[in-house]
Amino acid sequence: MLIRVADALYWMSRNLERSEKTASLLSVQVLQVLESQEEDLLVQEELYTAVNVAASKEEADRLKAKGTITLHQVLSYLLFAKENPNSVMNCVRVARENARSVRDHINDDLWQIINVFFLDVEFAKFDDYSDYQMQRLLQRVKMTSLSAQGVIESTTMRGMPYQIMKIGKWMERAEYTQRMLQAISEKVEEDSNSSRYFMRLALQMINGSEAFLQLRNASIEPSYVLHFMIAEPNFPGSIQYCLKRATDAIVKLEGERGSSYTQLLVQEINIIIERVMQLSFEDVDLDQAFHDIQPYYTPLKV
Amino acid sequence: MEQLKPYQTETYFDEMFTSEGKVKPHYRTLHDTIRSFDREELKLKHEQAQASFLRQGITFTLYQDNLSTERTMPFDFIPIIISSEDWVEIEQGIEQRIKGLNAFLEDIYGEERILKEGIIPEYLIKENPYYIEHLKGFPFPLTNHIFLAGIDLIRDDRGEYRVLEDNLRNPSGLSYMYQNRFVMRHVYPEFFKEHTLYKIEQQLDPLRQTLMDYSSRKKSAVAVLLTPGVFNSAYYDHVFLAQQMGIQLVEGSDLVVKGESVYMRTIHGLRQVDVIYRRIDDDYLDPEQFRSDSLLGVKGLYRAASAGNVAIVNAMGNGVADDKALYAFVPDIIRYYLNEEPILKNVDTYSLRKPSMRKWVLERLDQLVIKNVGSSGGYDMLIGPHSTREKLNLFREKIIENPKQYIAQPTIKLSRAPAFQDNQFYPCHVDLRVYAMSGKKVRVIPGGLSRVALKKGSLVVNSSQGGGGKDTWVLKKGERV
Repeated sequence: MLIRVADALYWMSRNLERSEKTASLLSVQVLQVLESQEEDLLVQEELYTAVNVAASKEEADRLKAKGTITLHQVLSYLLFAKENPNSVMNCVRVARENARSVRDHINDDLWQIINVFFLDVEFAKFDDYSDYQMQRLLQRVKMTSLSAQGVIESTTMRGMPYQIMKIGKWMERAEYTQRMLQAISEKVEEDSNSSRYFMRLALQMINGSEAFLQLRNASIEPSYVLHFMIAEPNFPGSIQYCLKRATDAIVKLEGERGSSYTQLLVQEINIIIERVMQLSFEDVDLDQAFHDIQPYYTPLKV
Repeated sequence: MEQLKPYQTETYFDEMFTSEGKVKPHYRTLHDTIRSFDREELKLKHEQAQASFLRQGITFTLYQDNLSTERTMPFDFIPIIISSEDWVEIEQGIEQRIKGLNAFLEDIYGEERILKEGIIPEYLIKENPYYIEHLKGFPFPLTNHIFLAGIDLIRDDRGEYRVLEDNLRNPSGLSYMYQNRFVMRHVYPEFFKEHTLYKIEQQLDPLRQTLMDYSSRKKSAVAVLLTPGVFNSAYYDHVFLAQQMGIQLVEGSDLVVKGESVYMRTIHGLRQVDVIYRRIDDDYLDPEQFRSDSLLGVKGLYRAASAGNVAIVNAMGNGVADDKALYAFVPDIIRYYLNEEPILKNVDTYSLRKPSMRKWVLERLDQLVIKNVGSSGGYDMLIGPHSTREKLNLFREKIIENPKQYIAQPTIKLSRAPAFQDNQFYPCHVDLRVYAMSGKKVRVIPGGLSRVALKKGSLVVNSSQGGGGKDTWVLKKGERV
């Protein structure tokens, strides 16, 4: 497989996953705000966290500095903003551009799911959406990404393109959970009284509430939640699970011994796994620990 | 809505109707089927078909004011039907033409017999911008220059097929020919009943084999399709062909030349490439040999091809044979190399180099078609009878300033066929691009891409200027007529 093709498949997959994660996070947020006012301090913290996780801390700080953060601002920035490289629209565009450049390596159903979605939202204008339509759009983003994954799972040959799409997906998901953990840790550190509140929010935002409650009898103990998010071996959003799956895909791509092509990636993943395992879940200074891990994700590229 | 019914064919040849207003025998079944649908059904199907192209991303890219937009080619559901008798003539004519043109190219970059014998004036070759002098004596694999050609045919007012243009460099549109058929089968399955057609899918494997003919390594040979990338207007064509032939679609940056061989960069290292079906123009192919500012090409490609380590198809330098000025000589070329009379006629073409001819043409600009010999896609072209005084004057000045750059042709009464647009049926002008592949032997793909000028009264069929496409059926012999 051409290196350019591998790159494009990897980023197509990551961007699809990212669009779904951001959309899920926003649909949680849209519901949360319904029952309270935007000025509510906790709501402000949530909106801040959403931007922190799905875009960047800098952007979240910038919005905060301007006064009250509104849901409108957050949706506009995370969903539509051209200047935000991680906005859902940009993710969809990048995923589609990458898919288009490797059309001969992905099956037609997968291409059509991505292409049709892009065509439907390409000219969408944020201001035209009612709350109801907004929810529908978020749902649509989520379902598009899930259908794409369904097609990949059920119809794609288990060859190199498949494994590379898997690596992209699991790395993106691991990074997302990690960013969520970091953002939540910061909040808990600022205000330890609200720790349970934020733990619940974190679980919702990684789409893990149901799974967690099934396992834990509804006790949102921070140490349980953190353990669940980091190391629960059966939860497909935990960092450990994601990295395990990414590693599996690399082994299938390269064989046990690997090759120089993925060597760097494998090394980095091993370092992360080691560090994650060393974390003590009672540790107060989680924030710092995640800060240390963060730089390892960013340069990861196939 | 008006149903599909005979209209005044006027002075044009019509594919479906006779001048007496009768349906031609080979269209009768289809005509009856179309009439059995009501307006709403046809409208719905029409929309479905259009949406299907968009959904599948079967688009071409249009550049205007520095902005690019992806467009689908408008599709018209009334197919062009070619009888088996007509097809025999087309097939033989195209095969003959490809053989003649190929012999010509081999001669021009070899002994130059045709020039020495004065059949073709030397300046036509040596002053031609597409002529590449240093290709003389180049080891062209199979001594073959044309892997895939697209020959544009029209029918005149008597229904006779004539060649309008040869495309021997990078003819595009083959994917549309296939997709028109696929969409047609999907959305209009009823139309096919009681017809026996040549299946075009069966031509895809021969296309791959023909490409592999050019490889010198027999087993494990690797062929690729070299594309300029997603921004190229024909990108979909490239994707489709690579996919169907089962070869890698590569960009210039994916290839590298080492020690006079070409390799592609894979995640597991370099892999040698034997045949390159390139869809990049000569000028951009190799910055070492041609334009040094090219970002699309591969440095050293020319050296590797000279050394015989890689086959580049279509061959470099083909532009000299499909140029509009040389076109007038193609019948002579066929006679010279093959000792045969051309089966398919040309459209009469007047060179503007001779002052007497130029004077004659300038006096009749409003009756003629003027074309720039170096441009394609319907650009820089004057259709006299449909033009304005300003445009006529503009072309008059252009011709006087640079007569070598233009040729004149009589306005052909392009044949017409019914189309369904904006909820109504009306006759539109059509032409036909026929594709032929050539390796160890020549093979003509049955049918072709019928292009239709969908704007009422328009003569321009190019997709960049509002033209659309139709499925094209070739009836098998024995079909009830």
